[in-house]
Amino acid sequence: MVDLKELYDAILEGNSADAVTITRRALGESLDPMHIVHEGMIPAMEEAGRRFEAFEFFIPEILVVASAMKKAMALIRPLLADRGGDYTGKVVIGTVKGDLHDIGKNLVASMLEGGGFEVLDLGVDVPPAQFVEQINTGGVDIIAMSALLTTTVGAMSETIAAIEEASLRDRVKIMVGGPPVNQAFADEIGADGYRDNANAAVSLARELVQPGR
Amino acid sequence: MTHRERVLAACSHQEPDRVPVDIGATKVTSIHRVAYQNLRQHLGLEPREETVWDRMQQIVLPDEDLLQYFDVDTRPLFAGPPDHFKSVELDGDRYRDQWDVVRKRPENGFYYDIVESPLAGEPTLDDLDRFSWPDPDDPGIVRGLDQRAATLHEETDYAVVLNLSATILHTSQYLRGFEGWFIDIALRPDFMAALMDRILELHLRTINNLFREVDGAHVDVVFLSDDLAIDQGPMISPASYRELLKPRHRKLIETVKNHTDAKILYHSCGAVHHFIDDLIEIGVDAINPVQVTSQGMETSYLKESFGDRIAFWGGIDTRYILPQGSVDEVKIEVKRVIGDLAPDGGYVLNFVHNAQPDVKPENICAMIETAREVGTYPLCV
Repeated sequence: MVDLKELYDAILEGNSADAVTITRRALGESLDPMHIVHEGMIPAMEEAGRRFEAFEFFIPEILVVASAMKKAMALIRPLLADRGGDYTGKVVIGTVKGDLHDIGKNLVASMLEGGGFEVLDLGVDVPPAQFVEQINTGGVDIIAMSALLTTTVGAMSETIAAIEEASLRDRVKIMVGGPPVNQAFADEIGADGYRDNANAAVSLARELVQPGR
Repeated sequence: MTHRERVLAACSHQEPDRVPVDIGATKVTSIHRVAYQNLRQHLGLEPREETVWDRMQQIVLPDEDLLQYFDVDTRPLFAGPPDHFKSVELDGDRYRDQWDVVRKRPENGFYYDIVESPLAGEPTLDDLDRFSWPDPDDPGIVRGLDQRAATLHEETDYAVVLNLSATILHTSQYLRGFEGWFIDIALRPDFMAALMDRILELHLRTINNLFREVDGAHVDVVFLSDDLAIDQGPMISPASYRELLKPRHRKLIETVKNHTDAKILYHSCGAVHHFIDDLIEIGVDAINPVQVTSQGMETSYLKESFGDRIAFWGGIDTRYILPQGSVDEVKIEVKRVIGDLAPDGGYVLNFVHNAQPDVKPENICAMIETAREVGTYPLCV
């Protein structure tokens, strides 16, 4: 019988190969996919997040945890798609126009996927129209925007303006992040939320799609 | 006091006659070309095309008329371009540098950022052997440097700051790509150590070549740079830093000190206070840019904790105060920072990193004026 503590350990060590093998074995033994997620994966991610905030983990460690989680989750996701009830939400994420930095954005995207979200990553240098187009396509719960530069954060408000212009603002929640962003800036541009690290961004996304839970 | 004496006194924890000011002595204490032209226009200086000093960051080598206008205390000394390599221009506003890294400027962008790294993927030690490393012995690097150093030191009284482009962390990061680099730090530290050794060897050879030409006595400050922190804390764990970077930085600094008694100025962005004790231990005399908006980088805390052992170089915020603040807010902030960092010397005033395109010219002027008003010793702030 697969011990999910092993999956937890593999993910925390950032050992993708083991995380995938154990997940595959667990599924082979007909363990409930949600059980694997809740007993092995989410606790590992929560522990990684705790260590990150306690300065025990740093970007390298959190990045490999997120990567192991993402690879294991890829085996689980197709099995969850049919169930509906455990659906967390869809996030469209991207680094805003004029900005080519993606390490923070990639980390948030991986952590969101690990947290059960469906994530569509638009990459870097994403023009406002491309976010708008995605909302128009339907099914998007959250727009997540990242910027590294003080000179590109302005593109966040331009994107929000474009979403408002298209009369789509009430269809999505908007979250923002990156070094030049803070809560005051997020409030000023009319975003629904801001967090200063990837772990907290996942909790924020949950709050935004399931208020009060 | 001469300009040079002022800077050296500050870096030696003695009170100079006034707080020294740096603009443009290094590639992280200068001005983006957009802000530079705004400033020249604001000051009514003769229109002239700027000299871009660093293409990636789009910063300038400030002209002498502007430096004299502000009576800046420092002047830069830096290696020349290699004879046998020129950046390769690519379509879409991209270029390939001598490390084979490709950078691109987005449409209407202000900077160039990495889009291709030569050692991306999962490179092996064999790939390091096969890689075409830049030539540290290229004669262009040192040509004329002895004369420039001698002229600056003998014919001016400015503090001569030798720029060493000798990053270990960043060079390895650019070569691997950011994500691959972080993953190596966590999962393949041995490969990372081997990559960093190759880079270190090359830098050591360059440093020895430079000082074969330049008289060490003509250099007042040697500038080294490698970011160790981000806004919230260390970029990598202190354990990884101590294993991978600290010994190699120590080696760089030891090698420099074999050639000169110059002060060692070290640049790391972010919440670098986690590493200041380590930096002092390996011989750093002054830390730049003092990113006051980062976690735990309050100037009063820094001075109290480390101020008797390390000098501070930078400190005037470029994220909020200089781009968004009013002239009055700038004055209040400059006064506050001088009050915290300058008692008993130990402070050279500069922006926190290069002044970016959004920095207002009137705020740069207010920064310098306030430094003169309140930065005269004995301090009365």
